[in-house]
Amino acid sequence: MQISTNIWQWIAVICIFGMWSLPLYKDNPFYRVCQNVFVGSCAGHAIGIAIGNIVNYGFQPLVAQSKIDLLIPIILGIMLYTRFFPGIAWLSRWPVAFLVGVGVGQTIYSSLMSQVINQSIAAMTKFPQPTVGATINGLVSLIGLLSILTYFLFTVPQSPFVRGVSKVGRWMMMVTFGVGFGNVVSGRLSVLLGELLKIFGDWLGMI
Amino acid sequence: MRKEVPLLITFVVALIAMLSQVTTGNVPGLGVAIPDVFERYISPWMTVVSAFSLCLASVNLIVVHSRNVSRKQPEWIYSVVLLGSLVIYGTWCTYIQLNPDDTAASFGYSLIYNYILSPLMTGQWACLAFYVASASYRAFRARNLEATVLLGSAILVMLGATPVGGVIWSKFPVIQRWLIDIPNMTGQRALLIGAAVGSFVACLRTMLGIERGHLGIGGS
Repeated sequence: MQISTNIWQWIAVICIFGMWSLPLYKDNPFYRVCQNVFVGSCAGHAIGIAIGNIVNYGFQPLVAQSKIDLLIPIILGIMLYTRFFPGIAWLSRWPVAFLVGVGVGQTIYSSLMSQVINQSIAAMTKFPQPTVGATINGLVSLIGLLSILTYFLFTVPQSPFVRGVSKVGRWMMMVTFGVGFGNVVSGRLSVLLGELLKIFGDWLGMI
Repeated sequence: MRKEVPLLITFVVALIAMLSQVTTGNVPGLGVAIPDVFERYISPWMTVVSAFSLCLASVNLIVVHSRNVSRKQPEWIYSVVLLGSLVIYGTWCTYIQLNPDDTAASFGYSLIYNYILSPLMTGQWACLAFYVASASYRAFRARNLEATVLLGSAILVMLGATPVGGVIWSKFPVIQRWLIDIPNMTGQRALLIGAAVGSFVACLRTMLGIERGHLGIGGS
């Protein structure tokens, strides 16, 4: 065992232990300090990137390339801060409207195209498939998709048939949630193992 | 003015953003292609305005915590810690954004990013493993058939994902792959289609001004 003499390794391990002290012990000042450093540093990093974007994509092209149109987003951006002044707070709605407008316009198309149409196309399977296994997989996919969609149909009378199909859909969703849960657990554990590797390998030099 | 202009901005910008993806035609009367309008104007404007909005969020954080400190609220010392780290990271990151050629400053920032911010981030993330373990205990009690299906598929996926699963039975990784590729994919697809339809309707309502919650005006 050879403990690292790198001061930065020590700081990193202290940060990790600080974060872990909450689940391993309980809420404590060490954790609260680490938590606030985390929030503050994330916010500081975001501010740095944002100011960089404002200068690099706003002010610089405006001044160096005389792109006068960039005055519009700069003014809109400044208008966001009018919410701190009650008399003119309503002006902050304009930039919000702009941001929401872009998001909405892009989502309308992408939600239809990539999620509804492309996913529906991907769900269409030719029958029979070359192998029995592929045919069974195709049937599971098709029946599963239709049954889950049926589960969310609230505007049709809930006849025994519809209820039966919905039940199959619910089971399919349970499998999906189970797989999702299993993946999440595996993912979190792999992050935890990565941290343990840092502690026992980089810091303590035991691995 | 207070209500109509924001609604008009939302409608016009959303229309341009939407049409830029479906047509290459010109804006009537201007002779400029709609995708060009989006690429040349709306997209760079969006970058700048969203950067301002990101700063707004941080300004709010600064205001709240400065108030805590000035009024000596309980646990105000943590607000000092937060503000201190925010100032250090904010100043340093801004400096290297504006002076990308200063390699010494970039190296220094990479140190505080890789050895403080990054471990805090992954440490927080790994914390969830502990909570997931306790959540698993509650979730993994098979109360009915559906809970059993969830439990069974989760266990099979976890066994397939770990090397020990393959040692116990060589088919565990195969079953895991099948569960992920077929039933999971089907479920994800169905949920995605349902969510996309809902998202489409919500966006259409917002674009047409029926939904006005984002402007703080209230419903239609």
